[in-house]
Amino acid sequence: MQCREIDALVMKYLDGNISEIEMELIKKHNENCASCAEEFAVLSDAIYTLEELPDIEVPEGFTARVMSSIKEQKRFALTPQIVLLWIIGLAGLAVFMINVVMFAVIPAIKSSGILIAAYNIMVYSGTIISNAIKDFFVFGSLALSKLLIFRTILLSEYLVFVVASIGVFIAANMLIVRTLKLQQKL
Amino acid sequence: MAMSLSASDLEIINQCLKGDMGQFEVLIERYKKLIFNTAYRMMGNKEEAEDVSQEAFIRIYNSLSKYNPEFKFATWALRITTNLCLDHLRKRKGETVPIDEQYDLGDGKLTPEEEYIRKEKQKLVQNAISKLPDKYKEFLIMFHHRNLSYQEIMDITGESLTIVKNRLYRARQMLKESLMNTERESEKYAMPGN
Ligand SMILES: [Zn+2]
Repeated sequence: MQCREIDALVMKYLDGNISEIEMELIKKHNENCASCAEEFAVLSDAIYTLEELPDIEVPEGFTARVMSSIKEQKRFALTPQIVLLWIIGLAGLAVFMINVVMFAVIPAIKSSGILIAAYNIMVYSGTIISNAIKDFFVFGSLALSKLLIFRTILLSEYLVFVVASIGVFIAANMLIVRTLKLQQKL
Repeated sequence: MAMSLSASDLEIINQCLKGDMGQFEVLIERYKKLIFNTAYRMMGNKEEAEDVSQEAFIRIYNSLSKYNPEFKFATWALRITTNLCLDHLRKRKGETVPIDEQYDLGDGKLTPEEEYIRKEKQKLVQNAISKLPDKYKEFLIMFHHRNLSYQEIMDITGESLTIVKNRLYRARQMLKESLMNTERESEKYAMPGN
């Protein structure tokens, strides 16, 4: 028998899937082939050692550490509801900021009668930025498209500015209440 | 918790999915030995083995909803664990990490000399295994240390039977060559006549 064939039989032996006849073939070959005999000895000894490597004890407190990591990550987990609340809150805040600029900052600069050039630049870049924000809102979500309509009304009616502020206030409160509820659950 | 000791893995998983996360503790207790020891043989030291096992259980928890009951839970858990081990091993390329001494206490059946020889052998084999390419190491450990079947290894790795057989074959060849090289090296330095 060829050494290569013996090699294949040795693999079967290590698979634990060898017949007695095949085992005899290995033994017979190895009696006359020193290199196969040596390889067989080294490998079967190594595999035996590997199979007998003892299991070691799991470190003390392992389970508790895993459980506390899981609880920890849960506290900061982003569920869809929380993300939505954040979006509403941030959108409300953005509306608020735009209105502050529109109805407080810009009129103040205007009425001051100075820095006209600076004001023009500000309005120009402000338009670009607010357009970008507008685009983002449009594609944001259903809630955001509603806010857009809200914003258009705000632009024409100074009075609604007050309502927007209340909106921000409500959104912030919802967020706080939600977070508190979550913490109680845990 | 009391009911859980006899509950099946699937029952426990369903409890967890319903929001009773405390039940997960039962699963950790059931499988931590398997997970930790597999990670230990892959990583070669306790510290990394614990890091990987913790991470594995957290991942398992987070993807419980994706568990497919067609597979044994152990198989699925081992899949997550060995993938993490491979990630970590890849990241530490180039760094040398110490391999733990054996914590084996022996069973008192061997004489001190035999015990010594056995420990030396374990060290040699551990060392040779740690030097194998990760993918081959993984297969060797799963088959010969964790005693998993071809089918189980196929489920864990997602590889075909041919690939599993080939990897295992190559892994054994590499292990043999590595050990025979070490043997030759040590003979070179040994005193003649010994
Ligand atoms: Zn031969």
